[in-house]
Amino acid sequence: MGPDCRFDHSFAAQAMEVRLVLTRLRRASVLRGLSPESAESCELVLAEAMNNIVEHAYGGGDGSLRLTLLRGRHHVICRLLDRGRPLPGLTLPPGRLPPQDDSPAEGGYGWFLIHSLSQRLHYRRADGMNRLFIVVTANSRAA
Amino acid sequence: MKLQAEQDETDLIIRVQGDRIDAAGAVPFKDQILQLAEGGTGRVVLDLSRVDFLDSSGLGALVAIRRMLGARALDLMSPTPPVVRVLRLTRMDMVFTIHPAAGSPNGA
Repeated sequence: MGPDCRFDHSFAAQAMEVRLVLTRLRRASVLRGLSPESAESCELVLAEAMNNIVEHAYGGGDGSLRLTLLRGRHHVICRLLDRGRPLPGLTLPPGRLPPQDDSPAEGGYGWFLIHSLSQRLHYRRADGMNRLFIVVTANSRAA
Repeated sequence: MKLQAEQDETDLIIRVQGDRIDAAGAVPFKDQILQLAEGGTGRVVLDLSRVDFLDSSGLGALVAIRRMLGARALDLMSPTPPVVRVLRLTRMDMVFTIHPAAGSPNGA
C-alpha cells in the first residue's frame, strides 16, 4: 500500500462541506479499484456519519471534523474525529429501521444505513473528542 | 437543484437534473418539488435517472413530499443502482411505485 492509499481531510462541520469532501473522495486513490457497491457503501456510510456530526454533535453550530481513510487489502478503515457533543449514553445508537406504521417515517434511517453498510463500528469519547471508527468491506471491481 | 417539469394528460413528470439528493440540499429540493407540483395536475413522477446519490436526508425529503401531496401519488422513475439500493435497504421500494425504465424514447 503506497502513501496515496490514505485520505485525510479536516473541514468545517457544514452540510455543504460534507458534500464537497464526499465528491473529492469519489476521485481519491484510496477508493480506486473498488467495486461500485463498496465505493457507494463508503460514501453513504460516511455521509450519514458526517451529517450526524454536523446536525447533532455540533447541532448546526460552528465546529470542525476530520476524516481519515486507510485502505487495507479487504477493508476501508474510516475514522471521524470531532469536538462536538458526545453521542447520548456514550454509545452507538442502534441501527433499527424506523417503524412503518400507517405512514413511513421521514427520518431515523441514518444509523440504520451506517449499521447495514459497515462491517464494524466502534465509538469512543476521549479528551473531549468523539472518535468513530467505521470499517467497510472493500470488494474489488470485477476485472 | 435544477428541475425540469413536464405536464402530460395524466402526470406531472419532474426530471431531477442534479446528481445528489443529500443533506445539503434536501430541504430546498422538497420545497421546489412541492412548488412545481402545485402548478401541475395528476400523479407526480420524479425522474431520478441522473441522481447517483441519495442519503437519509434525501430519502426523508421524498417521504415528506409523498405525505404532503396527500391523495396525489408520488412515483419514482428510472432510479440508478445506488438509489435503488437505498430504497430497498430501507424498504421504501414497498412504499413508492418505481418505474424502472424512463418513459421517453432516449431513456436516461
